[in-house]
Amino acid sequence: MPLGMLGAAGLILIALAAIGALLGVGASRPEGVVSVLAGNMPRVWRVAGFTFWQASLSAMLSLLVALPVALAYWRRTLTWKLSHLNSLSFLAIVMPTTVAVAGLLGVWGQNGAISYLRRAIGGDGLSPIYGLGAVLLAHVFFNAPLMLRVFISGLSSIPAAQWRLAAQWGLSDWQRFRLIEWPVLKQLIPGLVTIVFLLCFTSFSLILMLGGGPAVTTLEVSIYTALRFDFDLPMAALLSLVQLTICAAVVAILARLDAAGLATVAPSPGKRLRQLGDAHYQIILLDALLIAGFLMLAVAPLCAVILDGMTDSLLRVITWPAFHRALIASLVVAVASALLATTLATIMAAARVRLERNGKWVFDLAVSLYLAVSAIVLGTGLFILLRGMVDVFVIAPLLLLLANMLVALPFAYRVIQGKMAMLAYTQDKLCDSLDLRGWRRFRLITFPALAPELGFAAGLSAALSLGDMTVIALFGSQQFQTLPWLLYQTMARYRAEDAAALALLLFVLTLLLFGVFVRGATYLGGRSRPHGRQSHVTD
Amino acid sequence: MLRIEGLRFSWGEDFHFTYDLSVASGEILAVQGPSGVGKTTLLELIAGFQMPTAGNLTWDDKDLVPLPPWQRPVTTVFQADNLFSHLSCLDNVLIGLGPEEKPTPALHTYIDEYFTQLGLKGLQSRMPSQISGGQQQRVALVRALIRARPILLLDESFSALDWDMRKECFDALKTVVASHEMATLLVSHDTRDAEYLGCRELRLAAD
Repeated sequence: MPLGMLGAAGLILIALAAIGALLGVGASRPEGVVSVLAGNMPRVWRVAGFTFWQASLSAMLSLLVALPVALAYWRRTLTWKLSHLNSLSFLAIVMPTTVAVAGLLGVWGQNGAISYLRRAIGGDGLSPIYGLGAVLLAHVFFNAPLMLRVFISGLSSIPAAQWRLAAQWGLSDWQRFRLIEWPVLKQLIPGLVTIVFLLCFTSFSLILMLGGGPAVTTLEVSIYTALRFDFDLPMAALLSLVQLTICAAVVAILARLDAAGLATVAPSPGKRLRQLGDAHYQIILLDALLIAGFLMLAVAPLCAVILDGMTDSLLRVITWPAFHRALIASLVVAVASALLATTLATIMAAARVRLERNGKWVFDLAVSLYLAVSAIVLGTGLFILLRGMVDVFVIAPLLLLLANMLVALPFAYRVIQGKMAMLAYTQDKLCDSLDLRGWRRFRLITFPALAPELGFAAGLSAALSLGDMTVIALFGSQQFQTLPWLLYQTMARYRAEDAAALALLLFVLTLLLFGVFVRGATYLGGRSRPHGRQSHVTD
Repeated sequence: MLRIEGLRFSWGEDFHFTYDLSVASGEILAVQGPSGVGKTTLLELIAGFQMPTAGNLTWDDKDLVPLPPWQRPVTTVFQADNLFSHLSCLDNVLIGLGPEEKPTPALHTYIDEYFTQLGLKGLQSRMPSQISGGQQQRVALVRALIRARPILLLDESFSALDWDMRKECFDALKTVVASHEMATLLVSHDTRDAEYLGCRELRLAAD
């Protein structure tokens, strides 16, 4: 437990130091903080207002897409083989933002698939997609699949008996929706919308790549511009503080909603049964349209990444020295960040279950802080904090590692903590009575049981780190590049074929690394035996 | 001899329990009574999962109260969830050995005998999910037997089994309790259990 406490204290300390540095610089302007505020208020308000607006729109649109598709999916779960749709939508969750942009441009761009089809039938291609529309499209692409997955797991938690009753009573689709499905879904919506709002509010790379100009800029992008291009530290600090305040408020709201909503999704699959309305051809048609539309939105960009990437450029790109350097940097940071985030999350989750009621909040706070402190805000704080002491660009790899680890931590912790608490609840007495304690218990009992969660947490952390385009944007240089940064720069130079090849490579690498962590953890978990292989000799 | 004198425990303000009893080596005591009367609490106090507010709890005149669960001369078979789902039945038995103990060929022979005796023949390499709930409980009983702690606590361990299977388990239990000289407490809600075992009964009543 002391190690877990130390971890929690360290996390709180880092966040406080970064926030302290921001406050210090924000207040250090000669003319005083008040006049900085007064002089820049219109601009800050405008940017904050737009950030709020696009995040709200993105969350609402994602909901409008995900909810009907989830219901259609659920109605067809017995008759159509749709399980792969659920897995495919998972790809959008681990996909690096830079790759997603390449894919979205491949479908919706000026030279994308849809433009190509329109030209083939004699029409005009699409105009370039930039601005609010493109940002919303990208946000829906990322977040609708996330919502879809949560809705489907919510619907599958409905007890089988309720489906039997609905079928027996011959409930119409509307009655069934109102009586059975909606009560489950409506509990999930507030928490989900808030999470998606937060993700879109702190969205950085999508805005940077698809925003297309100063009119479409968010707080995150303005912080980046102030720091990297205008060298206006007080402005960056001020914007960071505004961003932090709003995010902290959203996280506080989320903490209240979450307990009541998302936590109730228990994976107890209640099998749906054939219902009265399932055979109506209007409903079948509607479901087919909804699912096809969703595939168009979520899967077409993936196909575009694969098809556009398979060109001669692929062979050229893999010989670039810059690619090799970026590949090594990305892999090292991603693997290290995944291992660190998972280890720290495990240690803290283990310490948390050992505590009585008082004190558990310390761990939850330490982790939730990093939902509110986004990577850009953290990076800006660390930049300000360390700039007098070291050359920030020299220690850029370490800063990147630290920031990626901290940003992945809330997700890793969430995945691990629930299972850890469940294991403690069911196994504590048994393990105590069998004198299974400490490292021996972890190795033989907890690790094998927790292996799927550990693998998933590590895989997710690695994918997040591999796709990160925020901290690297602050600290990247000619000497230190990662794959997303290289991809972004290649795109910015309009080298479309090379960019497409890089996008494909990054995508494949992300999936591989995710797979290696998930499989690797399961493999290691399966090898833990109390007395080695000899225990199998007697059969 | 397990001796319990004036052992007190409270759940909040409203539920107070006081226990006075003793169980000799090789003896089975059936603990009975309605729900909520504190049967499981008694076993948890003996195992060290709950701390008493007053009274004495001794084994052969040695005070057990200050000892943590893993240092007590006790082994428990819980009502359910006794097996680790990722370990085979045999590994679930072997995990009952301490960290320093190594499984010897003689031990493996013992285990095979117990498996046969309890109707588990050939199930050593099965995973818990591949056997029935009753079989899982009997695997847990095998583990309790190889741990050979002098106090055996059975918390509704066989209540889920049908009567014929329960009788078989009880036959095996009587043999090993006698041969290992274990002081055994069996919590059950079925009065037939004590009759069949021909053992002493302790009927708990509300304070």
